[in-house]
Amino acid sequence: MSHGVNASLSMPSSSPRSPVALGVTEVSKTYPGTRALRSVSLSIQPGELHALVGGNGSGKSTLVKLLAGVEQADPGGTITVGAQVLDATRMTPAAARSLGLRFVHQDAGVFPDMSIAENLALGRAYETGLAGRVHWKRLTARARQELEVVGLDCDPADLLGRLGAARQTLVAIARALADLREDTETVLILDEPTAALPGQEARALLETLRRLTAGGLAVLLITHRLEEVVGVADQVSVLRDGQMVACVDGRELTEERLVEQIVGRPLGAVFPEMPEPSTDQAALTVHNLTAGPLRDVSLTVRRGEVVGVAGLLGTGRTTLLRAIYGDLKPDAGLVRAGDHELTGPGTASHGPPDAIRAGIGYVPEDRKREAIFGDLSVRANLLLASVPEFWRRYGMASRQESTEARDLVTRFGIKAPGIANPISALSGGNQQKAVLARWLRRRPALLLLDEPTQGVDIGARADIYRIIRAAVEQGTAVLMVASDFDELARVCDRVLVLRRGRIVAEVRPPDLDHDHLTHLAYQG
Amino acid sequence: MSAPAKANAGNGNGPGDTPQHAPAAAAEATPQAGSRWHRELVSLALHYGLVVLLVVEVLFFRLYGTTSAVYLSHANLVALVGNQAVVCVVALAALIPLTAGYIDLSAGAITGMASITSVAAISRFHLPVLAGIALGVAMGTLLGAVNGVLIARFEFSSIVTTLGTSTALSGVMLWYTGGSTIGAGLPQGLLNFGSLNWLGIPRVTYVMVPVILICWFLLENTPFGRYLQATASNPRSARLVGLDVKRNVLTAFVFAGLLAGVAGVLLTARSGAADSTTGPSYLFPALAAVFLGATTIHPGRPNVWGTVVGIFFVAFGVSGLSLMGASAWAPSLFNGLILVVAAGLAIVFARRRGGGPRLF
Repeated sequence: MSHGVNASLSMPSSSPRSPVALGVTEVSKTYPGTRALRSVSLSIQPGELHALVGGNGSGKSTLVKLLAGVEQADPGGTITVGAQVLDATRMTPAAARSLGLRFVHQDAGVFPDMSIAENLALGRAYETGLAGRVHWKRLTARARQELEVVGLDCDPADLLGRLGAARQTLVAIARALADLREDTETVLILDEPTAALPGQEARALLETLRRLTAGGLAVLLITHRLEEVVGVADQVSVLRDGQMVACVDGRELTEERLVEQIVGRPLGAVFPEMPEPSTDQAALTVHNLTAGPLRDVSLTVRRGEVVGVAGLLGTGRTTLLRAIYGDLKPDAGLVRAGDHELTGPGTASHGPPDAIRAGIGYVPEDRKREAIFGDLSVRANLLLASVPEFWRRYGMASRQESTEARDLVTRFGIKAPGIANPISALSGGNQQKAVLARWLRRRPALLLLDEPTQGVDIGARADIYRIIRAAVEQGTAVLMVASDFDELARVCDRVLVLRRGRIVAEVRPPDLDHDHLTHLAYQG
Repeated sequence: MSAPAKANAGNGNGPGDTPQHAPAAAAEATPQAGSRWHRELVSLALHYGLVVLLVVEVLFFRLYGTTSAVYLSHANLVALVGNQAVVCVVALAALIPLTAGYIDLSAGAITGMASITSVAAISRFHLPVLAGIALGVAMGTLLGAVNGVLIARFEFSSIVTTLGTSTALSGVMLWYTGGSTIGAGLPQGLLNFGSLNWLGIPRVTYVMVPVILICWFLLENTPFGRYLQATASNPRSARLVGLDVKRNVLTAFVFAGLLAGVAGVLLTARSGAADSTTGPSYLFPALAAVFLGATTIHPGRPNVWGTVVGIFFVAFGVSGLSLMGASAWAPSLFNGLILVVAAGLAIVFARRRGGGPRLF
């Protein structure tokens, strides 16, 4: 695909003999108050799968926005695509497109209620026939071709929503690549396409990307997940605090070294040792719980114990937590938290307020939709589970609220410009710390955690585990769901394996490791 | 594919890395220190912009030749404030559910129903004045509860439901009044309350001001107010932090109905009669004030003081225009333009706070 002859614009000062698909040279971006990027350079060759990693707030997204022309860079930098060089300040969405940059953003921008063919057609225009009528036959034929590019074998007339998340992302990629022209360099830029995918599906997606790069396409993959970078990417660039701190050959890389680059400190500090459970007192007893996909699930979590739940997507992991919390009405079974009988014979089913009264806190998986109040202040987000505590006869004790919020921000190491700022301005990791702080300030007897470190960078992950450990030392029990079995193995005292709605195994050290859990979760 | 340009490379914490940090940090400190002042100023302008505009507006008409003599005269002020009592209470009625993210398009129609109820009770059924007032307020509360049950319990869309109840109520009012004005034989005491002053201040103000204070206390200083704001921000998160979202929304609509009932009684006192169209006609000015108010005091979210400022911004503007001799169409044009500008600004501010597209 590379050519290098069609140099209509000025040539870069560097020699043209090694053609770059995408070059970023000394690009900076300043927002009021912060330097998001400082003189960042990057270069990707045709056929290269280039990974860009970095913690939350390291500037990855900013770089994508500059490339897409959604935001304009500070003066001084240049962006090179193939043989064309553009002043980085002059990038616009239209320019990005005509230069051959194609983007698949984090939320993929697909429409589950529309057919696959329509989703693809939305990227360009519907093929039309007489009087502007949509020409469905031509639309379908073209869709089929485009799906072939990404190796998807499915009926274009099907609703997109019926595909799994990974295949939906593939459709988004197919759409991005739809109007490829042979005569220009094309670079596919993916912003965290695997963030919401379970490991297995993420791997399938990466294989597709590999096949595309084998065909000469250059791919820039922005990701949190290091395991998919190691051994897959040709080159890995690491951003930290807006600066490019390393660009390493993917084959020479180990995950540990990568983590050290991202965090700037060694891996040992990330997963802390959890203390041994102090007593045998049960913080939570679940007996024969049946709800959604769950069948007769029984389990106990003791005070000061961290119990993990391992299982594939759709086995009822989240249902278990929601049923315990009362967000979902179980069909049968008993849930008891400490002395509080929440659900069982003789008691009506409970709701979240009852669970909270029994000392339970719940950190849901989908932080943005289920946990935070994006446009409310950090202070409001921290204290919304404790509002009555600050109610006085004459009104809300706002000064105490602010003091408490400031105290929580310090205590939990939340990086926030101020407690009155909206929480959506914080990075994912800091939002998650705030959600944890919201519950931990109530000294919960039991904390239900659903993927507590999803979409959180490795540095904040270490902080989150430190926070959880401190709570466990105080006697809080933790029931935790995570897709990352390695994480479960390192953090939990024991792990229950869920398969098809039933608990099929309980794993304790020394058997507790990633491979054993994977084996149990998939087997059968 | 080997050795691409590693311009900034080095393998991480190479020796070239350390000196890079220092100048960068210094460079960052300077613009921050410089822009702090600027940011404070911008924030102040965002919060009190409309208040400043209101003052400028008043000063303009006070100093402008043709209006200066009468504009801030006692008579004009009394008329101006008295005229705002009903629309202000209707606006606050609409504000309460809107705080939770639910629009109430029936506030005007409920005001009309409450007004007709009180007039009918007093003049047709010859009930005592106090009973008429109580029945008017009760009618408003009841209708608010109907909205609340449909929207909170059965999860109907608020915009469709209140549009429906509003239209249906207009029909009921037209049927009951037969399209004419009712209200012969209203007692003089009630009419005096609507039109005369106490201590030089319109008597209706003695209802409007406490209503404003109560709403402010309720929405800004109680857990209930916090819960409504949380619900508007993210209903799902609100449920999962243990809030009873349905009950709060139901309560919000009942309060809204109650306030619309109060507005209806004020309307009766003010106009000394009732008909089927006056009540509903208050909806749009009231919503305009609420949206206008969402751009000030707490930019990006509808709020009580903002709404009050919005009411008086429009009122002082319209009063000045009519004193200047502007034709009857001028106030409508002014109102409409202000609403569009306000709605646009409210969206801009809501986005700044990271909120999704709200109802406006």
